[in-house]
Amino acid sequence: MMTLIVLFLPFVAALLLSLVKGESVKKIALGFALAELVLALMVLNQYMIDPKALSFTCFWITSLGAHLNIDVSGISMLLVLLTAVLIPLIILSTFKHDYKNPAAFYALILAMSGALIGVFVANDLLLFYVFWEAALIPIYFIAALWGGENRIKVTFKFFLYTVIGSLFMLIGVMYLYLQTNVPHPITFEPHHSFDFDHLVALNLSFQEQCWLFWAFFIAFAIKMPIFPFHTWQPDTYTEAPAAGTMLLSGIMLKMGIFGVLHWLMPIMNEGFYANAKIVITLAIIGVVYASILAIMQKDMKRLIAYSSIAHVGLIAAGLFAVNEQSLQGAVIQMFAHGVNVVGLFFIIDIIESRTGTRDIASLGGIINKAPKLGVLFVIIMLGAVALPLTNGFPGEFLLLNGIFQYNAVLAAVAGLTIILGAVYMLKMYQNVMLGEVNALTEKFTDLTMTEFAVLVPIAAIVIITGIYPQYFLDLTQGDVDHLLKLVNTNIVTIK
Amino acid sequence: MDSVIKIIPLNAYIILSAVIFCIGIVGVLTRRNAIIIFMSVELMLNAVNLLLAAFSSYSGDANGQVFVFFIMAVAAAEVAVGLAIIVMMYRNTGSVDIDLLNKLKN
Amino acid sequence: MITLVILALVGLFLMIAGLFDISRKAVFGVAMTGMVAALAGNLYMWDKVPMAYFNRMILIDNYDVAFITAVLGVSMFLFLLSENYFGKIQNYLTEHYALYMFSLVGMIAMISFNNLVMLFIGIEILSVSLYILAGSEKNNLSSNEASLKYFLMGAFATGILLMGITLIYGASGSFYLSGIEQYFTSGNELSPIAYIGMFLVLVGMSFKVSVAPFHFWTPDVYDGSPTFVTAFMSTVVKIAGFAAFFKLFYICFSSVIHYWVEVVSVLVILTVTIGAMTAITQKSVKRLLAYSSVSHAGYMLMVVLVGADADNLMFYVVAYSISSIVAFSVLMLVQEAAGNAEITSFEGLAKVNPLLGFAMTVSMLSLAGIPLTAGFMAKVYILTSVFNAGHGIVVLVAILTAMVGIYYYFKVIIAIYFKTATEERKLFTYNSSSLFKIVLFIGIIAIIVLGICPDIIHNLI
Repeated sequence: MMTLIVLFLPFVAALLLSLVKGESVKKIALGFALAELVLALMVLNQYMIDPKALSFTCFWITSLGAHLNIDVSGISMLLVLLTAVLIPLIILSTFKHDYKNPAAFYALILAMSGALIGVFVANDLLLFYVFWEAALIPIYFIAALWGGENRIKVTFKFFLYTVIGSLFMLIGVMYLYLQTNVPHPITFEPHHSFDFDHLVALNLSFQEQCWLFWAFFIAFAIKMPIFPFHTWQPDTYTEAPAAGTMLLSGIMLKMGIFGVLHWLMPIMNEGFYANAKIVITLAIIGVVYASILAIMQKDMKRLIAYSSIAHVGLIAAGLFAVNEQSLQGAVIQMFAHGVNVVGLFFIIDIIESRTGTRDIASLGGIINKAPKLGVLFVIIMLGAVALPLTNGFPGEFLLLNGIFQYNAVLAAVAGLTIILGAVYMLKMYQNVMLGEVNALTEKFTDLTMTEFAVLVPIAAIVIITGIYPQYFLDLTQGDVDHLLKLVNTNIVTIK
Repeated sequence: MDSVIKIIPLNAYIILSAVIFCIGIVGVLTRRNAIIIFMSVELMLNAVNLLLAAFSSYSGDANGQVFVFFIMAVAAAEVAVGLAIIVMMYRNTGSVDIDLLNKLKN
Repeated sequence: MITLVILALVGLFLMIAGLFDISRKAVFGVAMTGMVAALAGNLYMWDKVPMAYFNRMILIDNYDVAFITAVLGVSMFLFLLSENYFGKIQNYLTEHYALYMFSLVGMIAMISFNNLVMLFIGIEILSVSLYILAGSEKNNLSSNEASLKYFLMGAFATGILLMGITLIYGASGSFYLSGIEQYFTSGNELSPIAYIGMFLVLVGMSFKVSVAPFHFWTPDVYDGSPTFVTAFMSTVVKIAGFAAFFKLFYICFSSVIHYWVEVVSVLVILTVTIGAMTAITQKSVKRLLAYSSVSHAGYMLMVVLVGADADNLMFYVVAYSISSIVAFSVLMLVQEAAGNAEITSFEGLAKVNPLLGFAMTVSMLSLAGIPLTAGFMAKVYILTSVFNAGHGIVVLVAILTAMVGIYYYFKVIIAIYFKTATEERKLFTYNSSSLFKIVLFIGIIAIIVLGICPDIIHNLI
């Protein structure tokens, strides 16, 4: 029941918000987001006590056998928590901007958060698909209505690219649906179902699994993105408004990773195993390629966008290496990356709104004028670089360890990401914050209260989860073990 | 009466009707004058009438011939409307050549 | 049957009433009351034993009641959004309404037919009324051209259909659907003229519902007719056309499905592909909607291809019609204000009139098949059913053309929200009464609600 409220509260909030006029929109939006956070923490509490109580099923479309079936497993709990934590921070971060038509802006943000939570808790494939696509509509409008100059073409390319991936996934969804044959809960006639458990129980042939794997994976690969499906990402991240980029990079790309973990791995496990090598290779190529491109960037936002591709490439490689370390690493790194990248984009937003530019070369010496910003920036940046004691480290370490178990050479190449990441991050920090103050940064004022209120929690999470990641590891351990069992038992039975 | 009708084999009627029908189709597709096109359509309808009457006689079932009356009545109504449309077009453009109908080409 | 009688009487009454001086509101009121009464009479027949009329020429069962309800409901929806259009007609207003009533009569005869003669009569009554309506703007050369083209093509198609009916009659000896079905399932060697007849009927019906490659009259006719008539033709007529198409093929020809299933699958693939490809380059929204209606006809044809699941067809036509009518009604207002129906006239609409912009956007999203709209659910139903029947290639082509479709539907959305209106366009006034706004809003809600809970309509047949 509680999961149902957590799922639908953002939508109700979005509807109510769109009717509000005037300045109080921001505060009301923040209020709703904080309420969502409280509810998510209550769900977390309930999850630690009794996970089964969180599942909820009711009829949705009886003629298709689709149910409103939501459930919270370890990984989805983590992601719901991530969403619930990040949305209030994102909303708070927009307070200093005065967007025109704010009611629509905040309503779209909340609607998107609802759709994202829906993706994470859906246990019914059609429900998952509907929320997957539905999450795209708000972000498209956010990016296209409040974005940068070049936004129309760029956002349309983003939308079209993503929808094409989703349509391929639709073929896979329909095919899986038609393979199931279970008795109807009421009439007991055989009918098809979208239910997760029924789909996992399917016995698919190897060929079927292979093409189904690619049908689904194209959609997830475009969403994450993985080289070579990444071309929409740098432009879209750069053109979207700060809140949009934070939503995209912080939460939306986790949808792709989650899709692989929750739907791809259990259902198409043989196909998964067979194609793992190609995917890992592509992912690692992406890591190195994106890192090198990140070094060459002059625009801060674009640099972080490329670094995001690099991070996600590593996570994806970990997913496909399929061992306990790499999976746990991937899950932790998801959370860490979400938090870090939101912090980084917010800092870029602060700098841009103060100085009017994101060009690295033309900035400098900001730390002299804004020491608080400097300190918080360095903490978050080091988290992105995966320095030990920051949240990036456990994830990156586990991932590299896991990939090493899969293939030492690939792990060595992937390990380059640490070095390259350090290069571009430190270079950016040095050029922007250190050095001499120039004309642009003369009048840089330090952080305001709201900005401080956003960055401090992020930095705190960076340090705390860096020192003590065990809580998250425990949270998701059961789920990861379950996944490994599912993939490996099916492999064993073939051999 | 039956044997008199069946002297001419049914296939002859089918072939004749098919030939007239095809002439009508060719007329619709190749002619430029709207009235001639319409006449070709009427030719097609009458080929159908012929065939229906033939089928009906050969099987002794009166339904076909009743249908012929239906078709004739409807065709008459269509003629009335169709010619009115052609007249309207003639009033506006001064010709019934359908090649002049190119305002909508995009 | 009472539905038919009521509508015919209302039509006649309106024609006679045209002799006197009646106010516009009274005419509109009479027409709407007639349609409501007809709808009530129709719903009365729901879930009753199928009744036969006119010597078994018409047989009304649940399938027919559902589709007739769809036809009448969608027509009422369209009429409620149309006062702008009817307000501009100076002469012969009652004759206009009468013609719409008669076309509805034709549609009802077409849907509830039990005998091929009745199918022909229904198609003819419908078509003749539409020939006149398409040309109703007498001084507009495009309208004349549309009417003439429609007439010539329609008569041609009727001729082919009739030849097909005749050949089937010659082979089976009966016009009644039951007699034809008996002939086709009898297991005897079927005479070749039966097959030729079947294909000619297929071709004739394909002309009427604008399935490729027999669709080439559609863009010109839809573009040239007055926008309201286009809305009527592309939605309501398609409902009736496909209802008849499906009924005919399901009852009579299912037993010989292996003869025509490949042909129909090729038609489906051609239709969705040509419809999508030709719509990409369109600059006029009216023509874009016309070509898109061709591609939607392809989807509806898929139900005939499968030969089962009439409820998918019902849901699809209703979802498509509501979305299409919302789009057309916004188009009518924009066309009146801007003078043309180009995409550029829509630029900046969101700021000038948010309700219209939002309505058009929801409608475009539904036609494109984006989730949370009725159009998506409709496509899921049909594509799953086609996949189940084993036509994997058709599904693949449909999905690929859906991707193309998103491109051109979004051109309109981008124009509405992201382009700024020129100064002169900002001064446009969009005359919409409160009735229009309320009905439009109901339409938007219906599209979204049907996208979330399609079972409201789907489980009826």
